[in-house]
Amino acid sequence: MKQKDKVLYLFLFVIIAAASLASGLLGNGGGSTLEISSDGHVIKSLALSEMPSGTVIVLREGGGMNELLVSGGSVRMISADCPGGDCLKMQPLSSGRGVIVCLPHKLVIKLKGDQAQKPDGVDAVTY
Amino acid sequence: MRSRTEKTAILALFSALALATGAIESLFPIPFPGVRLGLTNVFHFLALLIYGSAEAVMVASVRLFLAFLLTGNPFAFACSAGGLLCSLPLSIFLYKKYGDDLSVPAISVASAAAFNAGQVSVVVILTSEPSILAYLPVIMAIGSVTGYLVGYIAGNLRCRIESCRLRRSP
Repeated sequence: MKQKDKVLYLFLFVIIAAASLASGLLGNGGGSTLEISSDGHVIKSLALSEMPSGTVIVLREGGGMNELLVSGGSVRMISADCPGGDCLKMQPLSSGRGVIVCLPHKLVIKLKGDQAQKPDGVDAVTY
Repeated sequence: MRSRTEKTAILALFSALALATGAIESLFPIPFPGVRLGLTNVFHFLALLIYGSAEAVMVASVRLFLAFLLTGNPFAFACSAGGLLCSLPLSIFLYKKYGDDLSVPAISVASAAAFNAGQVSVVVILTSEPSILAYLPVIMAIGSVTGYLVGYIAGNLRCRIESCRLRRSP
C-alpha cells in the first residue's frame, strides 16, 4: 500500500456509491413481470405468475432465434443461434435480480416491478 | 541480458497465456455480457510493468484479435475492445505518471473500473438500452476485487521474472 492508494480507493468508492445511488433512483428493482426488449423497445411484457413452469418463450428478433425457459419463478435462456452463446452462460433471472442480454439479437430480458400491471390482471396467486 | 529475441519470445508467451486464460475463463457462467474474471489482463499489465506501454498495447491487441479469430464472436470482441480502449490508456498514464505513489494493485483496480465502464458502454450502445447502466456499480464493485487480484498477481510475477533474470546473469 503506497501513499496515494487510499486516495484512489476512496475516489473509486465514491464513484461506485454515487452510481449505485443513481441507479437506485432509476428504480431498477426486481419484480415479477418479465420484460423483453429488442433494440431498445419493449416487445413483450409478461406476468411470471401467469406462466406455468416449463413454459418456453420463443423469440425471433434481430434475425435470429432465442428460447427462454420459465421454471419455478426463474427464467433462463436455453437456446440461441448466435456464434457466441454468451446469453446461455448468463445467470438465470430470479427474484428480480440481474439481466440477460443477447448482444447479437439486441435482446434485453429482465424482471420488472409490478407497478405497470394490467388492471384486469390477476392480483395475487396463492397455493 | 535483455536481447530482442528474449523480448519477442516473452511477449509472445504473454499473449499466448492471455489467450489460454481467456479460453478457460469463457467456460464459467457470466453475470453480464463479456464480464469475466479478467485474469487475461494480468499479461498485458505484466508487459507494462516489465517492458513499457508499447509492449502492453501489443500484448493486449494480439490477444484481442487472436481471440476474435478463434471464437468468431464479434460481440465479445467489441466488449473487450471497448474495455481496453478505456483501461489501457488509464493504466499506462497512472503507471508512468504516478507509479511512485500508487501500488501496482491500486493501478490495476482503477484500470478494471475503466474497463468495466467501457464495456458497459459498448453493451448500452449495441442494445440501445440505457437502463443497463444501472448494473454498472455492481459490475464495478466486483471488478475492483478482480482488478486487485490481477494487480497482485502481475506484481508478484514481475518480481519473480526479474529475480529469475538476475540469477541467470553473472
